[in-house]
Amino acid sequence: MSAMEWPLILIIVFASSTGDVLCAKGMSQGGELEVRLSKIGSILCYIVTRRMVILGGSCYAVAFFSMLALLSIAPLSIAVPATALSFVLDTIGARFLLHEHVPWKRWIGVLCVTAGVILTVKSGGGGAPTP
Amino acid sequence: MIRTKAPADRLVIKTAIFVAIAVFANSFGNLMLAIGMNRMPDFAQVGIPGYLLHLLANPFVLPGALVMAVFTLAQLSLFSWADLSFVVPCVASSYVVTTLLSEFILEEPVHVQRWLGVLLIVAGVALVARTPENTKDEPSEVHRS
Repeated sequence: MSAMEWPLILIIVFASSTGDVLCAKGMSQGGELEVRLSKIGSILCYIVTRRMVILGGSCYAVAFFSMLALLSIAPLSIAVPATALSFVLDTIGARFLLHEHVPWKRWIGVLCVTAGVILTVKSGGGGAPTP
Repeated sequence: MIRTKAPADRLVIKTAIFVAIAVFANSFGNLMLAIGMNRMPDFAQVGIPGYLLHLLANPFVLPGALVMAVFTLAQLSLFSWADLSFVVPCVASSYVVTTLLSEFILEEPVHVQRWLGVLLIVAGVALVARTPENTKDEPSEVHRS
């Protein structure tokens, strides 16, 4: 593993979790969105003018380009499982920054999903979701 | 505008529909982008203008990006009424759909270990789905745009 891999993995995990937390914060502030196909234009305007969502989107962009950089130096079977760590960080952020009450079933579920993603991708075979 | 609290069923059904849209849009979007990018010429050979032209003419790349936009919109909508700690693991079921697509559409061999991973994800999502989608407040306000 080259010296650049770990810094990139850390950037991806932190940037995508920060993006998730910011987008979730921004979207939940305005109340439940009523999605209608006929109103898609005004829904898009509503979303792209929310400050937290813009900040979160910028974090997603950082994560996306760091992922491209990581994929150029590391195999997919290392890159994708490493970024699955952001599921755990997301849950920690949801609990302590967004003050969600995370039931124990959800904690175990998240750990199962993370372990499952690591197994799925580490075993190779391609076709894993990549940006 | 305030809507009086509707039966909880309404939100459960809405959540299920949007999770399904996000999962399938993510899986099919990634599949289309993967197929499209595999057909792209070597960057060094065609230069930037040529590459952009190929990108626009590629029948999979732009539609794939559009499908990924649908995924993003569905996930952001979910954030407006459901917990982040609920949405993230549920949307991760797209790894399962992607594995099925790899096996049956791309006809890649899928190892036993990978199916084991799929089972773990399904079990995890089943656990998360049994928790309420919103633990913070009663979602009473409906945004109408």
